Amino acid sequence: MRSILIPVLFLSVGLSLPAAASEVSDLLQKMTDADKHLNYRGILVLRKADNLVAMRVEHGTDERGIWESMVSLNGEARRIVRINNEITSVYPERQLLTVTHSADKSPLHPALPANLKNLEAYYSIKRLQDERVADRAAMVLDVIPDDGFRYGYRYWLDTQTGVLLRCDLLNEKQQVLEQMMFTLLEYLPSVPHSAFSPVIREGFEEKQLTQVNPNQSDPAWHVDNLPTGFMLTQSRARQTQKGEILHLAYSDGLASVSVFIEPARDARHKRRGASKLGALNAYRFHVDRHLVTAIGEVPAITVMQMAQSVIPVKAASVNSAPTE
Amino acid sequence: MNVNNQKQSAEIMSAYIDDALSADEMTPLIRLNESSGQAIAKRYSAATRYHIMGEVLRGELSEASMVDVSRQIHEALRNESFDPVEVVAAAKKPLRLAGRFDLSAWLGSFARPLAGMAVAASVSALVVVSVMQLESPERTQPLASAPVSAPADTPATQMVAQQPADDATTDAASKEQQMADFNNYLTEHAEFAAQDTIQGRIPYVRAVSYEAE
Repeated sequence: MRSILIPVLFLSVGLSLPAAASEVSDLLQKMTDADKHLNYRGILVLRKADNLVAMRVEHGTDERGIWESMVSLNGEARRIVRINNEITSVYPERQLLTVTHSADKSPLHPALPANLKNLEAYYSIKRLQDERVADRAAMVLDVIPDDGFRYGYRYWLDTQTGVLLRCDLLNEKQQVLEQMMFTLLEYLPSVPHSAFSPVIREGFEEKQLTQVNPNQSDPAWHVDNLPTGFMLTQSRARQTQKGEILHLAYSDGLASVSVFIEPARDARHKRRGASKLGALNAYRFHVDRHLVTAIGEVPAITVMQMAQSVIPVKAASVNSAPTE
Repeated sequence: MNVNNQKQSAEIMSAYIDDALSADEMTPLIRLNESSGQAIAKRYSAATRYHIMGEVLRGELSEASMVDVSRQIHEALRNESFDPVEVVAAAKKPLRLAGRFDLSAWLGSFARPLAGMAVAASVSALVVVSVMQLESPERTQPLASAPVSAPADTPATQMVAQQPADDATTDAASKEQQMADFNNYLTEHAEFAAQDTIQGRIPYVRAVSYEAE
């Protein structure tokens, strides 16, 4: 019996070992770098409980930067073209076109997500047995949160290139909330320029979603009770007809939460509560004549805690002032 | 409780649900509560719930009702020894020790939150008629035909509050505006998430899937 047990135990340990810190950061770095120098196209499928979305993805890099095209293959027709910081979404059926120009990325905390080793403060990362995805050999990484404020992830990375072939999002019970997977992937020698034909604008309603005042260094609002590891990474304001909408963006490097603060317009805006959509949780709260909406792919407790702890910066400074 | 008392109780409850009880007529209800303990208390609770549901179906949910719902939820949570502070504390509790995954701590940490979720499910009938009525644009059937106890994870592309029926025109515009606002939020969130996490294109694909729902 002993002769049987020992190899079995040895095998099971070998299948799931905590990855060394350097190995983890190397693998995650490989994953983030892959899209910076590779050209490929494939079919990506997103599965949620009652929803299946398939997209054709074409990706390329050259001296002008990063190109990416995504076309939905079921449901409402939609095409997203990203060329560096410009994202154009085309909805042919609605004859609608939205354009977002992101400012050059200068997050308030440039350490995110570059300093991947920080992730190990909030997640336990281990490497599982290699598998095969989209006919490619894949390394499997399990990224499990150390608390209840974020979801877990399982990544399948192309062993050769580091491209993310599959990603599962796991809830607190390690049940799969959503799965994203390439079913087909083909590497290319150069940018597939045919995928980036000029977007036809004629006859389309065009909406510019560009933010007016990006990266406010001194936002007027503040989340007072952040879960450990979350940091303010971006802050920007968008002017609308109804007033200014402030967007505070928080991240721990993997999980992300957006907090939107806008003046409450009428009594309906005083309504508050939680909403869930797949892996996304949202919580709406009313603070000091303002409507606060926190959304993110995190557990409900996280958006609730963050929304409920939003306070004006003046109040934050009073609270933190030393008492005599 | 004898047959007469049962009949009297049913009549009083019926009048209460129809909002047809005067202050004087409430006295027997209170007396019934005192004399028959938990059984009546449960019926009173159910009656209150039906009363609020009636208000919602008629589009008459008042601020006072919202407060009452809130109070009952708090009461239900208190009776279940559920403390939201403990849930937050449980969420904060480390799940591993010295870099090693601690299975027992991990399992233990869910005991409170899961208990809380069970309680939350038990009061879902209250929640569904309370402050926010969440519905997706595809599911705009009359509320009366909707299930009374909506699941806690009711899909909702937009956070849309149920409004009184006599405000239908304003409602439509308001809902549309709120849908547009929330879709803008999703787009902005996806853009940020793609920039500031290592998720790459995943947030964009998610955004497409949200729109598909």
